[in-house]
Amino acid sequence: MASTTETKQKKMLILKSADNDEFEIEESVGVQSETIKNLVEDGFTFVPLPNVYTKALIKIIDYLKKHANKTDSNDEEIKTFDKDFVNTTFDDLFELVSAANYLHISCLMNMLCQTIADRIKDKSPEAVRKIFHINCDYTPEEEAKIRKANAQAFEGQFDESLD
Amino acid sequence: MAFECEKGTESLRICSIESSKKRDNLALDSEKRKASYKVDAKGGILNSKCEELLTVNEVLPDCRSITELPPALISEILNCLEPKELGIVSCASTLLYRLASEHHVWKEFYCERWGQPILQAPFGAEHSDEKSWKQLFEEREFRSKTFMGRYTIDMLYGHTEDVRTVFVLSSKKLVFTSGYDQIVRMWDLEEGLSIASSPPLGCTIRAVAADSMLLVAGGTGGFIHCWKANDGNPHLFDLREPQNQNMEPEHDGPITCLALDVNRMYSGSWDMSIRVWDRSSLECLKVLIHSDWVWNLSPHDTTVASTAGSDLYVWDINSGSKLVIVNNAHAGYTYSLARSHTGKLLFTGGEDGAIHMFEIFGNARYHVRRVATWIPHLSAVYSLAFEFPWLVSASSDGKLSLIDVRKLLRTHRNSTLSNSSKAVNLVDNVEPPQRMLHGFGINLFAVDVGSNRIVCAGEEGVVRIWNFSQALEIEQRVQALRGLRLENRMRRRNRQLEMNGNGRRGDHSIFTEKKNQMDGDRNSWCNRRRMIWKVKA
Repeated sequence: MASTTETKQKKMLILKSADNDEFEIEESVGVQSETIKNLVEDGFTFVPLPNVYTKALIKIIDYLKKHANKTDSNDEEIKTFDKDFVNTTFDDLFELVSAANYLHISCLMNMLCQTIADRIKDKSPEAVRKIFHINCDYTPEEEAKIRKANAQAFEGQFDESLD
Repeated sequence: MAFECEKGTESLRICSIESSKKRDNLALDSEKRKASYKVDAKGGILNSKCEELLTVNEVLPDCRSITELPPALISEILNCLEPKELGIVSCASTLLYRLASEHHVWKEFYCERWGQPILQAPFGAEHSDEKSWKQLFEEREFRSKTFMGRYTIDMLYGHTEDVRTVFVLSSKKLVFTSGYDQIVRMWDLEEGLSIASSPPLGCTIRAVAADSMLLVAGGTGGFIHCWKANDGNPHLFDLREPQNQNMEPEHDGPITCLALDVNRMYSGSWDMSIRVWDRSSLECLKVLIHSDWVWNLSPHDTTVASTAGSDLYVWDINSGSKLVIVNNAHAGYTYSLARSHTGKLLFTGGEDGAIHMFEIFGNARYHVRRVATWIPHLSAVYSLAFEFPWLVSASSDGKLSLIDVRKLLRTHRNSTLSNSSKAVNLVDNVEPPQRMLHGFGINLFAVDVGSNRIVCAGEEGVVRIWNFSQALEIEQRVQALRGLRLENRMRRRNRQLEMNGNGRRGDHSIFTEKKNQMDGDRNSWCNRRRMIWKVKA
């Protein structure tokens, strides 16, 4: 399967997402990911990615393509692209960050982590819980204690919105 | 359906890996499969966590919670947060709390602000080992409030003329002072006692610097006196002895500033140059030429910041080139300079009585921009000292000002993220200082801070130590007393309310009313007050 389109100039790779969708990309684009690079070095052209879902993979391939031909001239363009790229919901961000982690794309990882961090800044613990989809597993006493210990963090105003 | 899909990919993966790693002789049990994947994914930072990621992602992605992400990934995210935000996030759940508390960024935060922690005397050392960085950080953060509290002043008499320089070696609890009387004196920071003094060195000493290995003093003669630390000496240096080393006068003018770091020594002079010395060989490595008298300098890593004339410079030590010049930072001379532990923040004080805060940013090419300005003094700011988050300035109007820079840091950090491309000198508004310490009618020439104390000295030749180390304890006592008083007041109030209630209930019974009135003037007065309340309500 996956008839490896091995032309001399442009080696193509086939990525397969967890939803069994296949994507064909150039090798030069793919090797930005350490995981793919390692597989390619071992002689693979067909890369199954059982941890990456199609939705995230499409976005990530977009990102890789954009960053593959990075030059000084399109610096601004890439910046705006990055801005749009991270301008999405928290759930998508988590999806992307976990995919980027799996694929070992460090520049994307850093960008996503920074974005998430920036966006949970100035949020109240309640908002953070909702964003992260976690339940409060403190007993009320414990929570009061920890809040007291971090009293200085609670001085300011919180941003309660969830985006 | 979805599950089947999963399974499909699972088997697919097995095939592909098997074919590649035949030499590894893989068995098909899931343990080894995961292991092999780990091998494949070598080279990433989160390498070791891949295994967890694999197991984690077997869950359907519909409603992903952060707890399903591998801890290392969450750690990465937390890495981008600041102490305050970490505090808030850790309130959200126990998992986040654990991750946030054990996070290594606390160490970075601590070292960024205060450098390596000073290990307390022998028995304290074991304790500090047990403490996590977070605890250390929180304690330190808490203690930083002390400078808003109450203080006691120690006056150290000894110098017969003006004191030009003060240096606090807080790790050893020592203070070194010197000035026009040509004598270097060593004091105990905690006890406020004189320990030793040097013989007259033959010229005015304008600069003193020390660490646990070396004490250096520079004077009008242009040469530097060095004392090496003796191992046996509890006070490190034997000032009485003629100095162990006396360097040739290389500077043509009076030395105004000295600084030490791990390998090098820096001296700045009115001959318009800074000399960088090798500490062990005492050889001059570099000469940095300015266009005016050098007033102050502050090294960090491979850069040294200096003020000369009214300008601010940042130099690269290795190449000896100027990285940044800020011309006319102040109207008149820029006398004083202080620098944060990160080396990113610079504070200058000038003849105009203003203090500016600059931030260095950019990695390849340095830029400096002014972040804030204070004008707490009426005349020249001769000396600045910085210990996070406090900037202390001493001025010739005889006042000390204390400035908390924390608020600026936050807002300003946000602003760099959003509009880092904006031009220099954004801020023109003047910030108020947080606290002023008055009480001198005379010039203050030098100030330094260390372990909850501020040491200053000036024209009168008296060194003063402002001791804030009890401030928090006093504050706690005051709080406790206030709480007690409040509680008493509440109790009295309640009792009165009770009585008044009784009185009202007994409205038809004249007897109780009378009895209430008989309880005394005070009570009836309170009754009246209560009536007024009622009317108001």
